[in-house]
Amino acid sequence: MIQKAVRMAVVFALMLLVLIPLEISWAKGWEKIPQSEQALASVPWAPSAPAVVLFHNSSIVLSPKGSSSHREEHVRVKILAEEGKEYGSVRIPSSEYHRLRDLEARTISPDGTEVPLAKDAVFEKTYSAYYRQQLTTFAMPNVSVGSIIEYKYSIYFDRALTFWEIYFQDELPILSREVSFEKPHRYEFNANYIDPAGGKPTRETHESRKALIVTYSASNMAPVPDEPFRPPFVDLSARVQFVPRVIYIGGQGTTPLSRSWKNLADVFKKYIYEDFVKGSKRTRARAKELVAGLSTDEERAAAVYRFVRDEIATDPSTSISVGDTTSDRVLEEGEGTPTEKALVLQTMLAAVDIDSSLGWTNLRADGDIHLEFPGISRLGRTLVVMNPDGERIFLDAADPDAAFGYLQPELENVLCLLLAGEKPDWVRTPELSDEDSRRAARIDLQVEDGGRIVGSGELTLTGHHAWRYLNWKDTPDAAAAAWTEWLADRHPGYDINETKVTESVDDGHIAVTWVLAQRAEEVLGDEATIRLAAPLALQANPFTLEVEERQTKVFLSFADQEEVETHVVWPESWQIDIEPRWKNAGSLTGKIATELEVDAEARTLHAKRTFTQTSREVAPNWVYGELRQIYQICVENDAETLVLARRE
Amino acid sequence: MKLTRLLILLTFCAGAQAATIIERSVEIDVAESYVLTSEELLVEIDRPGDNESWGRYPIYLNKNIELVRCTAEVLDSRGKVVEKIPRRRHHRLESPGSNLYSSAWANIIPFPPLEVGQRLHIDFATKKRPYFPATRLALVQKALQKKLTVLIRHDGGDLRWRIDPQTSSFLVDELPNELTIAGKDIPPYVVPVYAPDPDTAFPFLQLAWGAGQTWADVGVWYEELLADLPRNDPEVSALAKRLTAGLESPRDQVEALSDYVRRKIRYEAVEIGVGGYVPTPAPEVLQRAWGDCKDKAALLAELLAAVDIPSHLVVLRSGRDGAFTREFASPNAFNHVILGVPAGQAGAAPGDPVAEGLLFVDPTWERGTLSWLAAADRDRDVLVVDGRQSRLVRIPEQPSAETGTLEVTGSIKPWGDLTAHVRLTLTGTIAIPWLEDLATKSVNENEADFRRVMGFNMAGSRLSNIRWSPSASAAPTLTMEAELSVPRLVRGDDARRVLRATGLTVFPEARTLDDRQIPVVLTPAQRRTVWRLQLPSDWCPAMAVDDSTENHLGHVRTTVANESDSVVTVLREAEIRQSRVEPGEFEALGALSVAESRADRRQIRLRCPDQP
Repeated sequence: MIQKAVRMAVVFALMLLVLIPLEISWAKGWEKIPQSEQALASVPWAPSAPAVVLFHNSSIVLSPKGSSSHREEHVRVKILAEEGKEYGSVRIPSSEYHRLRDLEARTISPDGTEVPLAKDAVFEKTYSAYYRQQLTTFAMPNVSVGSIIEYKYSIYFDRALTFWEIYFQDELPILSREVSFEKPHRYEFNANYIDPAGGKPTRETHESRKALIVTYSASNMAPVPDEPFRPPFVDLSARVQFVPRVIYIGGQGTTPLSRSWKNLADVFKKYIYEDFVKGSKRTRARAKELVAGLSTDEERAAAVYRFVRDEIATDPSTSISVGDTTSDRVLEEGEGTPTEKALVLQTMLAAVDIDSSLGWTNLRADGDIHLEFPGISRLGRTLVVMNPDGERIFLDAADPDAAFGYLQPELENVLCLLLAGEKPDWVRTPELSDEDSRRAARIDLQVEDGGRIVGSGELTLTGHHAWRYLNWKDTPDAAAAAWTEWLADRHPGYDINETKVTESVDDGHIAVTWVLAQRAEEVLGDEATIRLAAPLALQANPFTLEVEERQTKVFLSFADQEEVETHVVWPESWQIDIEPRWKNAGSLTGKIATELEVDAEARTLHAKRTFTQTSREVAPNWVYGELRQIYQICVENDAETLVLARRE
Repeated sequence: MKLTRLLILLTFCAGAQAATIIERSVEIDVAESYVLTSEELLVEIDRPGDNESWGRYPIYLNKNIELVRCTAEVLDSRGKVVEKIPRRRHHRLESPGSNLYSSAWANIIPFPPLEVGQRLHIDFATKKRPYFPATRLALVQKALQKKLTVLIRHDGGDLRWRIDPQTSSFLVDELPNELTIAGKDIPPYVVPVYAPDPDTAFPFLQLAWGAGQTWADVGVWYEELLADLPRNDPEVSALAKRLTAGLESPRDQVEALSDYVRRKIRYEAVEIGVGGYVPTPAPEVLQRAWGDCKDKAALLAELLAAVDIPSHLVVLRSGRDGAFTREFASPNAFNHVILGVPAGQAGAAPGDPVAEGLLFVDPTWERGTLSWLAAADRDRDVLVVDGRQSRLVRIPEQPSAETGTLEVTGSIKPWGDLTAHVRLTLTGTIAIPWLEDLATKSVNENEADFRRVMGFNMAGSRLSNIRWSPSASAAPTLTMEAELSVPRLVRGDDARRVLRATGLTVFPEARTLDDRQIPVVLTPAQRRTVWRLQLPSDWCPAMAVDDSTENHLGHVRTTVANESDSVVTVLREAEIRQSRVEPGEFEALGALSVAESRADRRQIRLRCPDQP
């Protein structure tokens, strides 16, 4: 019973979002706007900003009684340009567990006139009656360039022992940001301030007989750069975390939670996972049925893995906790969260005498895990890790497109906490090499006497390239139709026919074949132009910012190889008018290798270009310059065409 | 007026699934003040992906539409009930879209994970109190319907009905108080690129009853809805007089007032029940400085009235495709409100968006002037609300309002590389997102966007020193300039050289017309690309070209001419003149599309007179 209470407490602790205004109450009282804010017309260090946050104060007050705990937000924004007026519309999420109260807002016109937000101008959308999730929306009145909009509200919640992560930067510049955290002495929290840019906030503490108040404040916070291929916002923004070191057990006091990673793992194993796997009799029996007749451990593990991957649907939760269920019930219902599926898989592996460990990790897009700050905040995915011959195999049964031992790009080279053993162990997940993720196209083209170009093609995808398109469509016919469309976009002016697709999740492989013929109305008769890098031609350089402009490092999806090999043959009545020219290139981030052979007598051309991208993350310095340069060369190469002309 | 659009879209979303509808039975009871619609569906899950599309079944509701009955259950392949979905497990899903608030919502039936071979049985009824005595029903869905039966009962009053687009796919049996529509094996609809709105492209049933039978009736109905709005508010009048003080000409006055509403009243929509049709009182809109299309149009009407300039609200279907059934009077097709001002009293000038004596003004758009009407409002029928004189008027197309001009002026190096100055000028609706980005995005991001656009037109090109400027011309206009280099723009050697001068394109690929049955919807526009290139003096000139293809839908033209001093000029022009192209016009559209494509691919040859 206690364990169940702990489990539910953890579940609540994971609910970071805010909640429901069943009935909004209204606060009173405003401070005078300083003349300096009235006069502010622009921000010198963010000259294109359409608006600026003059200040944003967040105040979290944890009550010993829990139910009167609350978070106050107070925001003042100045509109600097017409486009900034959109910040006059505000949306505040809330829910049953986080109740919105004391909402108050006003607009101060450039001439100092104040217009309060009318009560009937506040609207509530109920997103889920079941989960009692709501969105409160309001449009501030009389907003114009030069206006100041100001609003404040409180969110009340019952669970005090919750993880908090509060950002100090946003899409707008912020002149003043302050976050205060008030907690009774008996609650233990770790407070961590993280600023990727190395900034230091002012930190003040105030202690009374009953509570400790910690206040962080910072000024002139620049907007987080919105650059293509940047790391996730959660890693770029300065932020403060308040991490509970204990967790409340209903009626039983608290138990340590986050003093260390070991402590965190022990709490989960003891209070959450143990109950889940207690009800696993049928799970274990099913595992034994699945491996009947299989001899090696790898065969047995793969059979069990495929069963959990394919026969239990994935509920897309990002919690490392589990619901009030058991392994057998998940098996029976045929649906589970990634963590529940991992626990089922681990239980099945144990039933057939294969050792494994659970591994906590996170998708790359959801932010880095900070080893120095134990807590559940950045843990969102649970894997199963085998170590049969000293080489770890990571299993993600929540991914329906993942072969045995395959991890999607977002789970590559991320930290993973292995829970097995006395002391949890941090490891990094493996990463496929560029050779493992390939797109290779082979195109054979023939120019007919009348000038029409016809031919066939084959595209092979492996590794992450295959993963992206495995199970792309529901049926083989639908997949063939989708690939036909994909190819038609990359072969403009051609009809694509007889598209055939073969794919295998367990081999991580897709092969597409097709025939192509220039559309009759596109045939010029005396001239034929062939773009040799189609269908993988790069249209434009995605890295447009100059080296000195780039602020954030480049986050690419994965290392890979893209190869196009084109063979062209033409009739005697035709000749080469213009030959293509390709360049080779190499750098720290990748290389381009090309081959071009023309046999005028045989009237054939053979062209092959391979673009290898070796780096997944590129620093915003001269290395980025190299990345940009190699892409530029690839674009220029891919723009090259073979021009054939009828002999005159 | 966005509510109407939402409801229509929602109606079609309800059918946005695959699987097979084994039987669909709809009964519509039309009474004087309400419509009771009962719908029963039996759906077979016949492929794994159906689970995704049928797992959450929506029933669309609003202030005036209530769910009076609903049962939902999962059956096995033999028809035995596997699971019932009680009402308490249904979810509420608020209306999609960017509105600040809308009272429209969806009741979601959450089915458990579905297996191939299972069936869904959904039986529900809604009671609607229509604001106008009319309703509609989508007859085609995204899933194949093996059997469809629609039964309409009415109490003997005048019931009008119509199925559009006209089709013989349905059997219709009309009795004095009853109408039955039946169909079998009705294929699912597929929405290709450049498609009209699904609710006008695929068969749907329209019903109307009561007195409102003409567009004048619809106009009167709308005016009655607005009857209680306050008029002649002193604050509104004072503002109008202040804004027009010193302006002598009516045109200047209309321009000043519409400019105020465009720029000072920000667009934000709140639609609650009939509030989806009725504007917020003008003084309130003025005080809060935000509103939706009808709020802004009604405020402008009040401002104009304050300076003795009359106007009429005008309702229309905005968007790429403004089509609706002229023969069936009903406000259900409309989703936008603008204003019509008598052209004479507004001082309209040649080239202004004028039709049948009215100058059309859309104050929802924050940019532009009286001379410019957004593409989303042009080339369509609109209803001018004017009491018994309410009438449909067609706003003409203005292809010249949507232009894109690319000018490349530079020189070719002896090895074929181009260095040039490039200028891209965009005018009209296409310029608006660019202008907004310029104001809100960082310099770096804007440069990235420009490079991307140019990169697509000139693969391999490099741009530097990019700068841009908005223009204060009549239509939203943006000019971007940069220095351009293109490696190997001219290729070959002394014996044979070729140059490829691509251009801004406007027509869809010809393959989009293959086997197509439904109209194509495009944005009428003009595009012009001019290359003016200085060649090395010892090079041969370009072979002259003058190709032109023209028909009633538009034209494509390419000319290559040599000027003195080794300068070659390549001019490429393309124009689309109408937005909606019917299947009967596909041949003409295809001819233009092919001409543009061939011109884009054709190499321009540099040859001396003595060369073969």
